[in-house]
Amino acid sequence: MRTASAVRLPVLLVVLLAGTVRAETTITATPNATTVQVGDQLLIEIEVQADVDHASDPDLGPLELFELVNAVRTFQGTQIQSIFGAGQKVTITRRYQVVLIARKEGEQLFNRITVNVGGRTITAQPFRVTVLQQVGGAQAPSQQQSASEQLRQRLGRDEYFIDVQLEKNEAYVREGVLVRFMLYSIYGFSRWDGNAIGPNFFPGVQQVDIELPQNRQPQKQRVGDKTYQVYELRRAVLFPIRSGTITAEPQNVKVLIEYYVRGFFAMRQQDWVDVPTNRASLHVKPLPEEGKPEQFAGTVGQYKIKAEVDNAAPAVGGGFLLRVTVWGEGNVNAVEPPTLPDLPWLKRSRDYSKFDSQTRDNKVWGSAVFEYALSPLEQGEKTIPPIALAFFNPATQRYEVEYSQPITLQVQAPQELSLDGKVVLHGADYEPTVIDINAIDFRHIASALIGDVREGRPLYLGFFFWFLLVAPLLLLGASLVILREQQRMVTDEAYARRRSASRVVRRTLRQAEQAKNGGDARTFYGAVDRALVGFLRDHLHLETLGMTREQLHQALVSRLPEPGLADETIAFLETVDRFRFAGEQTTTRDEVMTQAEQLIRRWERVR
Amino acid sequence: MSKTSWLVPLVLLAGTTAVAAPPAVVQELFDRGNAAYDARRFAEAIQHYETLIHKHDVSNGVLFYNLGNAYFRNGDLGRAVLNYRRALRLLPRDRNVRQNLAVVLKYHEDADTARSESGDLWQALVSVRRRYTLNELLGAWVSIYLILAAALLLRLWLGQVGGVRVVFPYVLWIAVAGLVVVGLGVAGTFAEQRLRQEAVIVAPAAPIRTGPGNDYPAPFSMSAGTVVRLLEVYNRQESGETYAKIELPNGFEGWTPLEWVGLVDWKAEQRLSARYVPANAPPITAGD
Repeated sequence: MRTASAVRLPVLLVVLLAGTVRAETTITATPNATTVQVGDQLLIEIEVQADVDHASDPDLGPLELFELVNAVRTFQGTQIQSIFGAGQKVTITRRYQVVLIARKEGEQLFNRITVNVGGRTITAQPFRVTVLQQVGGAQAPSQQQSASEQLRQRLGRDEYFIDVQLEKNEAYVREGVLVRFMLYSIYGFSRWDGNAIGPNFFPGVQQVDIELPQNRQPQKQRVGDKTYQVYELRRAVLFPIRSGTITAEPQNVKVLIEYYVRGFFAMRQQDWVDVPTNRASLHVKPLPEEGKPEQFAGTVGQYKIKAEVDNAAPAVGGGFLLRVTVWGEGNVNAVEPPTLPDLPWLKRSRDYSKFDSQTRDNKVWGSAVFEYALSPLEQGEKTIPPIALAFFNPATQRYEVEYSQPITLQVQAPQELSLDGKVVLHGADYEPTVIDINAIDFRHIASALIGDVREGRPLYLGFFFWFLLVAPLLLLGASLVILREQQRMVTDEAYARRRSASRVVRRTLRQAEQAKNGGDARTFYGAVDRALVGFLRDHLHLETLGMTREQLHQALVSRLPEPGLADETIAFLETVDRFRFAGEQTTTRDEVMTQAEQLIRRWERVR
Repeated sequence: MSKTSWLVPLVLLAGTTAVAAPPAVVQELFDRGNAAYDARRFAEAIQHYETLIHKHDVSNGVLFYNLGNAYFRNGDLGRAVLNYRRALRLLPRDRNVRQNLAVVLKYHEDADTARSESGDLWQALVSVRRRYTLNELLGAWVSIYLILAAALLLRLWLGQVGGVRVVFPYVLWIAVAGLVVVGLGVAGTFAEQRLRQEAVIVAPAAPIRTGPGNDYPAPFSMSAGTVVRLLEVYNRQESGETYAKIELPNGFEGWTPLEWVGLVDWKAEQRLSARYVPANAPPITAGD
């Protein structure tokens, strides 16, 4: 069973805010379990998304059955710009990891996990977590018992247990504390589950393991009425990262023990057994405020500092490396970079950092190297003043400030930056690469601008491009239509006559129009008759030659024209015949023309 | 400079304008840059060339080539690669640009990664495609399209003529094949230049972090001149940092400060600079 510490942190997850809220603001809270036992850890992942610049950290609400152990923001960002896509979106996304430890049995409703955004309180979807009483495992933390007592109660024997030995019970934040995990066993010991006592055994610390000597021999130690063989399983230095009480709850560690079964022959046997650890606590004090120097950035330990440059005579516009080395005892991986003095004649282009730590005499030692790539902007003798490193020394329990030596540079004129015929490449390595330009096939610059001064826009943005694409399609389409029409005119006589009917009738009517004014009646009415009958023949594809009026009437009726049209047409033709052969009234020619055109238009609608 | 642009007439046919003489101020600055280069004052030459790009909006292949030369002679391998790449977009068959880019890449510390781009048949085809600009490929595609259309029209109107009937099938299939091949080239170039944002690491050793900020671990770093692909840009308002998410040649993704990455598409870089770089900061492409 997993248990965790009961660190009461004065963490108030509340806070400053600004901005406005829109509909996209969400908060989601996801627990890693819905049922835990007393003493177990509960991990809640919280994600806040909003489309504004600022939002408060989430508030968990009242915790009745749980104790807050740790709450960290694991991801943060206030603006995401998606480029080259469909526009940009501005959002903030924050993720938190909250670690709770179950203290009481019961059911906890998490229904007030909230975040404050733009004056509005957004609440996460509620969930319940059931806390059960422990079964069979370690006791509740409030019932502190030694490992051997627990073992005796559970198994009725105390052949083996692990004693977690802290060098001291009180330390400052980020101060190193030695811890040793000692296995007490009346049997032999073969091996153990190395993952069981890992970096998370003590919550809220950074752990640096100390390598133990190979082939170490167990010590014998008498405890009460038993003599134990004592094996050291692991040794480490803990660096607490926050103040409060850090507690490692009792846990079981799988250990492979060896023993002999006595009989006629003594037989060696091995068994994996669960070996309990004892409860261990460390009280972590915050760093004192008194005497804290201005340059202090949180470094704890005992350190020295030195600064050096790789080139004391750089040229203006050239580059050199300022290497600041911090070394000493403490968690060097947590050493903050020293603040460089603000020098207007120096341009800072990039930084590197490199950490190297080792253990000696049960302490962590090491060095942190901070490299600053700098470029001078002014010529002449220049000085980099001493660089300060402030730290808290736990040994003396006070703040100290170390300074590097000042560095004097002779900054050269810019024209001396490049060696004649040489190229100096400053890469990631300390040593630059020098290239003899005359020894390689490196082409000279071009002497004249060729082509447009500015890059032309892509062709697909121009009208002519799309015109060239569309015009052939239109030409092809038109060609197909024309050729098909030609083909049909040749092969389909009815279609050809119908297509030409309107054109022919208009030509004939023009002849009638000419005959209307001044022509004789026979010519005029003959032209009208030819026009109408010819139109009907072509348009309706009729063989009118030799037809009587009755036959023509029958043919017209068979084409289903509008009611009365066939009758009107036959009557009109008979009238025309009468005027043509029996004389006419002079005023009727205009009416005849009009009536003929109307009839033609009406017949054009008939297919 | 190479004059083997056999596709240029086709491009002109498709609507490009005639080449005009550069304005006097442009020519003057260009000449001053060249003079500074010849006098081995490479930083000064860079300044003149960059002024042409940033203040006079000049984007010319020759200018980028000269700028790449000046950066390399000034010891800035990353920006040399960047500007050679820009020059190649405008002068893809220019032998001088290709030669100098090849020379510079020999001194690239992650040369193995850079060279892993080429090697197989696909990369050979890509290499052929990259010898032409997008407009050249578009002009070629339109020309083939017009030839195909003309062949179809001839077939429609003069299909009875014996010569047309015999030649037409060959012209048809050759033109269709040409349309497909050149069309793929157009699509590939368009995707490479307009959709994928090709970029170059310009810092001597840019740490590649797992997230957008100094508080994320940097498992490794990439040296100047590494060609990457820009995926997105992330601005942290609390710290004022702007980070670029990049894809490395081996497919890995990571974050590095935006100012340590140069975009081959200089117009896109100018837009990014205007959006993210504070007004009092030096320009991204200024020689560091």
